[in-house]
Amino acid sequence: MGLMPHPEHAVDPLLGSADGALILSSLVESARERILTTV
Amino acid sequence: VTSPQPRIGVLRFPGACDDRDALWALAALDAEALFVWHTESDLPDLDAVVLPGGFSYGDYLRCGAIARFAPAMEAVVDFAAAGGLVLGICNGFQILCEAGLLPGVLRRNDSLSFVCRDVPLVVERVDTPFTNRCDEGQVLTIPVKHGEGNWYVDDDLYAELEARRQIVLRYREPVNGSRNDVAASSTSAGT
Repeated sequence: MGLMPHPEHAVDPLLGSADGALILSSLVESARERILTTV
Repeated sequence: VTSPQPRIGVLRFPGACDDRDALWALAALDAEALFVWHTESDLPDLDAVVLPGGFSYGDYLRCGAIARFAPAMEAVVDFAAAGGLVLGICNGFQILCEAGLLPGVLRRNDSLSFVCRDVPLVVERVDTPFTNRCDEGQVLTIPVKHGEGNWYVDDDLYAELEARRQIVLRYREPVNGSRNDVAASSTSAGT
C-alpha cells in the first residue's frame, strides 16, 4: 500500500495525534501473524 | 508466551528525511526495525518493507523517478511479487507508483503550493494488512506534508480500482486535487 499522509508522525498524543499508530500497528501485527502462521 | 518480533526493513535513500521517524515508530510498536541502504541489491530476511518519506535523490527529474532504479528497489519488486508486505509513505508512495507496483502517478498539488497540516482521513477498507486495526468509516487524523500528492489515474483505471477495492484511505475533504480524494491505494491483492 502507498499513502501520502505520514502515520510515523502521528504515533503518540504528544505529536498531536496517535491515529498513525493504527496504520503502523496493523502492519506490525500483520507481519507478526505471518510469522506465526508459517512457523 | 513471547511473540516473535517481525523484522521490518526501512529503505534509506539519499535525501530521505523520515527514515528515522519510521524506524522509531515501528520499534515503539514492537517490531525489530532495521535500515536497508539503497545500494543493497539483496534484502536481509524481512517480514515487511517500509519506504519512508523524504526527497530521494533530491527528487530531481520527478518524485521517485530516480529512486525506482535503486538496486534495493529491484529487491523490493521481487519481495512484493512474492506477496511481501510493502508500505510506501509519501515519497515512498511516489516511488512505488514510479516502480509500477501501485497504480497512478502523483502530480503537483492543484494549489501549486506545498501543503503541511493534519488532515482527516476516512478508512475505506479494513481488510488490508495496513488497516485491519481500524474500523470501517473511521476518521483518522494524520499529517500530510507534500508538494506532489495529487494522485491521478484515468477514468477507466479508476473504475477498475474501485471494482477491485484498491482505494484504502480517502481525504475527508480535498487536500491536493487527488482523484476522488484518494489518499492511499493498495495492490489488487490488498498488499
